[in-house]
Amino acid sequence: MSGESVFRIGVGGPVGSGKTALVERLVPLLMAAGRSVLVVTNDIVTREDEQHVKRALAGVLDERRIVGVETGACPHAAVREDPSLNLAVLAELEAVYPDADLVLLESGGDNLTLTFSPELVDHSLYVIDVAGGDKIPRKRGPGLILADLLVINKTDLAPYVGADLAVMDRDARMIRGDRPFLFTDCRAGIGIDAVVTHLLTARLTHLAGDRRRITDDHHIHAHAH
Amino acid sequence: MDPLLGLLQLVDSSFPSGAFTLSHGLETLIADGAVRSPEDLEAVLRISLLDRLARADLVVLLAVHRAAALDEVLGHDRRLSSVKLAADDRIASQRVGRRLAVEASRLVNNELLAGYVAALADGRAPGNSAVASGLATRAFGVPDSDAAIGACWGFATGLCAAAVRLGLIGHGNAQRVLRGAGPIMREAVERAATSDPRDLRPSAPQLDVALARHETAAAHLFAS
Repeated sequence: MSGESVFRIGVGGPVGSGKTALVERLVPLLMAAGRSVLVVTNDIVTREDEQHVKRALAGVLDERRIVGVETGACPHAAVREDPSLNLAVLAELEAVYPDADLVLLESGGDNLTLTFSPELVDHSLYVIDVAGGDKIPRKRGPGLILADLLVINKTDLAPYVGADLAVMDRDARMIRGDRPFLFTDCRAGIGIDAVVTHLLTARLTHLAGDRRRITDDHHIHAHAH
Repeated sequence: MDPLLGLLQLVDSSFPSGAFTLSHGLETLIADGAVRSPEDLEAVLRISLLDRLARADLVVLLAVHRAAALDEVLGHDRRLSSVKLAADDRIASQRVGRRLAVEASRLVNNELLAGYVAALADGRAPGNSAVASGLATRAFGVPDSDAAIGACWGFATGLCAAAVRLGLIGHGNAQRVLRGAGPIMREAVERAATSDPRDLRPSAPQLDVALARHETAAAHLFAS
């Protein structure tokens, strides 16, 4: 029911790490690069994120392209075990905006284990922040390790919270191997260009067929062995 | 596949239909202080089953289960949407139903179910959960009364799970409520079996008001 030409990006990470701020920074730059963008926010309790994104992007992105999804107090299930409501909302949005070619799907999942169903998104970002402590990368967690890109946000706060960016850099390399990570300061807009470049490159790679959204058939076969 | 296994798979809370995101009005009733105890929850479950499901959703599920053709199914689907007054209730039923139909159709070759999924894709069907349940259980070989009791069970487990996540009751009490609701589920199915699907009359005003108010409520863990 969904167009395979739409590149869906999951944005996960702990509450307060800057997922919403990152989405708000990314949208104008992705649009400037020619992308037709949709935004889906998975809110834990209220529609706060949806409203925040709509306010922040007023005049930039038509607010009807931004939709909040309730998660029944199960933010992880809503993007992993049973992403039905997200799939339903994406189908509705993609039907209304057939020109859309890129979706940012933010999850309110709030711990380091959050991963997205490969049947829901094509690519995933995991956002942590410096103020959470420079030990965070060492704590591992599937979300942090397996995301296609790790974003370490709020670099401006490092001196105030006693966090050592060099330690975070070293630990991120250690736990993620070859998978990339980037430092950002979303408040000041620093480092966002590199994230945009990463996403646009990933989209082209996806469209070239190097990495397709896993279909049910692939999934069933993978588990049958 | 064994029809009993088919029923177990379709009503299992792990089946990806998105039903876990619904509270069926409970979130608003608890926020309003109208529901405060396990007894209150039992009342919500009883009213939901006997006054809403037995008079609408279950009637449609049974009618769809025996429908002769897709056009008949689509008529039932539209009638059910027309008696779901609150937008959150109506939209939730449609989103869950659409996913249920799509996921079930991937597991079984069935002409009617496939035709319904095509009707969903081109906008001819609203996609209510009861319609998708009726078609999916039928395609899985589940007898109609078992399908209806399964729908009651799915509704009840969803409501009780929401009650636990909303902090109303503990996990043990939730199971006690479910265990005690058996006779009401059976009664709901019996009432639905004698109702005319062209004359749907769900009636639970307080629940309809709660579902309508959920649309604009400040707190939103659930989609209904």
